[in-house]
Amino acid sequence: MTDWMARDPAAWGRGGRHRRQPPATHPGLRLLADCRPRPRQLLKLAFWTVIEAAPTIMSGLAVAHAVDGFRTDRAGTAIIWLAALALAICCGGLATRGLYAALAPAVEETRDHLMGALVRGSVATLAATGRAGSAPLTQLVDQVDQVRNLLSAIARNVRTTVAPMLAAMVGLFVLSPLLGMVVAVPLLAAGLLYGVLLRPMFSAERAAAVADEDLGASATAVLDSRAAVGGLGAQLWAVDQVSSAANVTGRADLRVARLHAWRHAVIALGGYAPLIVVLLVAGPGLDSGKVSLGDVTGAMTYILTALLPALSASITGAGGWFIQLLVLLDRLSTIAQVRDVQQVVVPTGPDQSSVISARGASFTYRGGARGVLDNLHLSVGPGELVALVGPSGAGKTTLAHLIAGLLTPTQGAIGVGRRLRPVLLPQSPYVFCGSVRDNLTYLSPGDDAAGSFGSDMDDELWRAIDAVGLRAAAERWGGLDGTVADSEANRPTPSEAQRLVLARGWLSGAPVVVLDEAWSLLDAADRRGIEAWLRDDGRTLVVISHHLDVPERADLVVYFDGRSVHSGTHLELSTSCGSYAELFSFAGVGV
Amino acid sequence: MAPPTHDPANRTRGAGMTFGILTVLSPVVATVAGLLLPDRIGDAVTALSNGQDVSADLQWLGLVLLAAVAGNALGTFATGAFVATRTARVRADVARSVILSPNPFGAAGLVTRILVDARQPAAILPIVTSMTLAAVSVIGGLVLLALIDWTLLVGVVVGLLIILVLLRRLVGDLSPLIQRYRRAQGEVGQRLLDAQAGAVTIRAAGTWRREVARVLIPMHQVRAAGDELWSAQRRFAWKTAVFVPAMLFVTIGVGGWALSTGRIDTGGFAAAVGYALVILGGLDGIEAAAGLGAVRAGQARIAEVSGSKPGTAPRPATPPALLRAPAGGGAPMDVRLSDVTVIADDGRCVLDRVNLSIPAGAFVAITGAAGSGRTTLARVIAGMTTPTHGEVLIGGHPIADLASDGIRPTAYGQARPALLGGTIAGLIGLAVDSGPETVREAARLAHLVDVIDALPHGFDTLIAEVELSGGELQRLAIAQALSRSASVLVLDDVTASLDPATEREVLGALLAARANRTLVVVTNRSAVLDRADAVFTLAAGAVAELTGSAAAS
Repeated sequence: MTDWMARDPAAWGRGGRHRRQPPATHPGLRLLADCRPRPRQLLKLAFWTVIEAAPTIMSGLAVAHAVDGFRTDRAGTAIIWLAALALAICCGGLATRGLYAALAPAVEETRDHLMGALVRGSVATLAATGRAGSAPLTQLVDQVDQVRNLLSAIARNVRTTVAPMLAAMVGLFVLSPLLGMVVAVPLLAAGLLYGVLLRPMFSAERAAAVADEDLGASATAVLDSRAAVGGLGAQLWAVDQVSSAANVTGRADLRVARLHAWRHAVIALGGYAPLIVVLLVAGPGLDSGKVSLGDVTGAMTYILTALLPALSASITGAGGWFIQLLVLLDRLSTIAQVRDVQQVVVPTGPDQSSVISARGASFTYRGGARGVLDNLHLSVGPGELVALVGPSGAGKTTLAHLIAGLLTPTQGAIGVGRRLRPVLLPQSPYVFCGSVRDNLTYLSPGDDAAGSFGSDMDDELWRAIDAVGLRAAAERWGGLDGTVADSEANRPTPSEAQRLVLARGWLSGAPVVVLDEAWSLLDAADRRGIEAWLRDDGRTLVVISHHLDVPERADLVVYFDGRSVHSGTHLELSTSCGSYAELFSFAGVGV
Repeated sequence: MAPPTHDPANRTRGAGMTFGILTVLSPVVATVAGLLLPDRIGDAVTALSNGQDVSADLQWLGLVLLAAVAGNALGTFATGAFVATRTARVRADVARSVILSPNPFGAAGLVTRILVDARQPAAILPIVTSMTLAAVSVIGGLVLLALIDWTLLVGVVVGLLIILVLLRRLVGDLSPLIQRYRRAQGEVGQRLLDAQAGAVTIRAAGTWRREVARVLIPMHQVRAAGDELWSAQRRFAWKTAVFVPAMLFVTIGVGGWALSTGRIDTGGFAAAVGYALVILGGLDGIEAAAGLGAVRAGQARIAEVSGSKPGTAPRPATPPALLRAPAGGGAPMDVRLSDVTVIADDGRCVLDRVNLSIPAGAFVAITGAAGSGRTTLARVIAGMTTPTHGEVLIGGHPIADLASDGIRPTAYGQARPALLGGTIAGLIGLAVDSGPETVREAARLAHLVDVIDALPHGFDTLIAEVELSGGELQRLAIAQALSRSASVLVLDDVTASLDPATEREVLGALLAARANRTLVVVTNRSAVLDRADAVFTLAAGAVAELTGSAAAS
């Protein structure tokens, strides 16, 4: 893993190493500049590009001298020029081979680098905020690949446009300065026209890119909710959503096509006009002896073999590609700018003799009018079971996040005892593509958890699997080394995912485990069994659960009635708190 | 709204046809002009070498050049327009197949198909056109070259054959490589989506650096496939880089010899060089064949998700009215399952000859341990899963006959709502032809009105702007299910995240709502089981116990 992203983004562009980077108006270019290829690679590219232009420079000169030679019975001179051309052609072939060899790693490394930066940026955003950023992640991969394709297309295009054009002009001026001049003027005019077309082309291409992105966002939203959409009978509506977005991309692409047609005016001016001009000045030139018939044929060769192909290649390709590349990179650069990921610090509680303690802890969300927690006092001993009870949205998850250190109290203090590490098992179980073992040991201490354990550890993993009732599923996935979640078919069901995460919590060895609805899909018997197993070795459990059997067994109940927070034992709250008692009178028995 | 006689789909199809014709015809004009060009240049040079006036020749030349520019400009526009309109259609078709028919692919892979692969089928016409016209240029160039002097043909023909052999090999090489490359990339995307789902865990555990490494694991395969793509291209490129100029070289040599022996004049020589270039330019066009590799790979990936060839299947016109189902309650219908058996892909028997009957307007619960088949049974009743054997009758009719294009008389609500529709109101009334009253009524039944009214813009709050708790999401899912007119509403574990007080209230609302629909609820919660008219307890894929008034065996 490279750590270039860890540098302060604000520092980019400063200091000697970055002096030649483009101005901040193009953050996309800055992103690319940071993936800069090694100087050796650039040198190689430059060297082979020059060599590759040799046949182009030679072509017109060889034709001119061959024509004059053959016409005036000096076949020897003609043959020498043709031999030089043959040599240049062989060098050109070698150069192409070398160019591709130098280009491949440069482009591929840039792609890898870009992908690394973007994945890093988006995962860091996830880690910093606990939710996805605004950019649709599914498109990221495709956009990185578009950058790769554009880079290689542009690189290959430069060798078929800029290099031959320059080579042809050099050759032409060597052949005849007069002919060089009359070709250069319309060519420059064509360049100006191209410049005028750039701005509308840029805006059209950008509109097309935005339309593509909107289509991606729409398709991602619909396909992510495929199951729910099917259940609701909303498939046709969903199809219509995506189709309309597709139609918008069609209209945007149409506008781009219209502008592309104009580029042929540039070819006419830069490539066809010189043909006529050369033939026009040739008559007087021949008469005055300033040019030979060979020179005219040579000039034609330059225009036809080098200028025209180069112009059409640059017009139909490179310009648009460069614009697309800029648009893409500008969008991607916002993702790559990693926010500062503040590592979650284990919060130290005010009372170090308690496992969890709170003194006067209050919490208000930024911009929130009403405090979620107000002046909370808590003291939890080792091995205790704490139940957080209350209606949705009352602040149970907030308290869980405060204990785990994801949030810091706005007033007062809350935290765990010294050297204790809480583990949070959140509402949405996280199961990732990887081995069953990696998924189980995700929260276990030690970096190389997978490799260093022997069969003892395996036994422990299987014990955990059995304890959460996951053996059948684990065997279906292919045991500890089997891969899970690598395809839709292999994805755990929601309840299997919850079981897996519960086993992960036990294997973490953490003395404090916070369960935020982590077993909502499990049966009462399973929940009770897993709860007993989790508490077996004196672990403190904080449980958010809507199942009412938990507070009955809890040592401490924290009850959120939607306005204020009460704490006490189940018995205490049942007698002192009316709305708490009411919960149980309705349900009768816990399930 | 457009008037009914004016069908926008037909109009774009008509425009697409015009663009398609122009995509083919305009390059034809440009190709013919390209073939005439060397001849005109040759005549002008001959006139020059004879010291004659060249103005008439230049007029001709100007005309030919004008035709070439016009043909090319129109061709560029038509090709772009054709690809744009057709791609939009293929994208809509692919979206239709992936949404309407089941497939095993993840969201990321499907989005790639809509965004990237759907561009490929439209590329065929321009590719085939430029390949055909390239062939015309090559053959026409050869004939016209032979007309100047037959010896000029020799070098050109030999070089041509070698390049054609190389091209054939390249097209074969690339297609599987591109597919491999894309598959590895899709894996990176899917891993990124996984990480998104686990954002809280990653944040709490401080494991984001590890996650970055995990997401990037398939990049090794991407790199390997990428490197192989490059070497395939390199093998092709350096050979053409030698053979193409070599052809030109042979032409100049042979032409020079013909010039020195007086068989052709300087104008003929210039024209010969010109025709050699036309032939080479034609070969560049044949290089477009390389694009066929990408087209094939894209089409293969699209075919994986849709049975037919994209863009060719006749698309049934959907009346706009059908896009949104009628809202509110319909009439409740009865449900009858006879001998329903579901065998999973791995051969497990998930449901074993289940017979049951639910009267219209009843409120029944399905319960059972994990893995007992309760969710499968719910999906079968909702028409989401087709049983391997047996029959499901809704209101006396087989469910398969009632379902048309995914619209069923049943609805199936899960713990998570479909987070679509833009706003909260749009989400609740998703795909339903509903007014604000229906949406508000559904929200009221799901006990959400207080929550929604507290949001910054009430019902018009954007979904992306709010953070909702699990319980609130579940109630949104219930509201979303209640807003449609399904005669049978199946709710799968939708109260698991609700606190008892809210659950009690939501339950009361569900009981009130059953005047308009039969309710089937999958749950293990006693509060729900107590209030149900009947409870089916499943064990090992069969109804083990029945309490209440419904019938089962």
